[in-house]
Amino acid sequence: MMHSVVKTLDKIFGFKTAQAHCDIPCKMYDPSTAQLAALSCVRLLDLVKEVEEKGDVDVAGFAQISRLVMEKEAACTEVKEAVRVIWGDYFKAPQFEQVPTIHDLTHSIMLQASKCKQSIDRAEGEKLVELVNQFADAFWLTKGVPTYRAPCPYPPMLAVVYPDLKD
Amino acid sequence: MLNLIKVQGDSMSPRLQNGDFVFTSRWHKKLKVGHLVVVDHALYGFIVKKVLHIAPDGQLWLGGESNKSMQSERIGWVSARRVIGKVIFCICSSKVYRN
Repeated sequence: MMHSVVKTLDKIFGFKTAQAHCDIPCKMYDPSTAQLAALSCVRLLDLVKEVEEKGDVDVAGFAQISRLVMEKEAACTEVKEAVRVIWGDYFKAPQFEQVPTIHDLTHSIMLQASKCKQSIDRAEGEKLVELVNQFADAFWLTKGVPTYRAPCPYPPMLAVVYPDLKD
Repeated sequence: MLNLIKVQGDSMSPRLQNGDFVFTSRWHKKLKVGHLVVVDHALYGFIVKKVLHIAPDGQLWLGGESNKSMQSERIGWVSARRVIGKVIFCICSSKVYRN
């Protein structure tokens, strides 16, 4: 009753609004952000390698390396952030029961993303993609959505877990 | 001074839902942990949050009540002078809540 009255008054006078902010719109969770960030990390490692293979690095080369490394750092941070939000906000008791290994998996993604920040070894990036793929598999399992693996249709062309949403 | 403010978002659920209204007062006594406040945040504008910690210099550490809430780390420490008011009364679509 009281709420209806105030609601009507709000329509007439338009009271100020205070946000009760959420991280992301409610119930919208998708591991694809983390997967793209992990793939970006590998792609950036490949681009670093390309500069290295050119031979003598001039000032432009140093500038390019700086930029690539900075982007790699950002991609690794994005993997961590995206995985943490799904693990921290979406996963609850029923999902933990379905995927009891999720805590270890999430922790290993955190460690692996840090390794990728420290290293320019492609193998470390590939490991990160694989762990994030396993995370995506776990996520879609809790949603009851089957998955399949296919190479992403752009560099670095690594196998990626996709949800099969056709049915 | 009293203000009537509309709540947008669900980070304070179940206590406050999207579309609820809150009365805030500037004439509050000392804020305590657990109080709901509306602050004018430098980045996020007007936000309604719960006081989680109070620093010795009076700065506030705020957070939501739902696990969907923006993390306190992103809100950061908020100066007491940014407090628009303490929530003293809520008009909820489902019930009336007094603070």
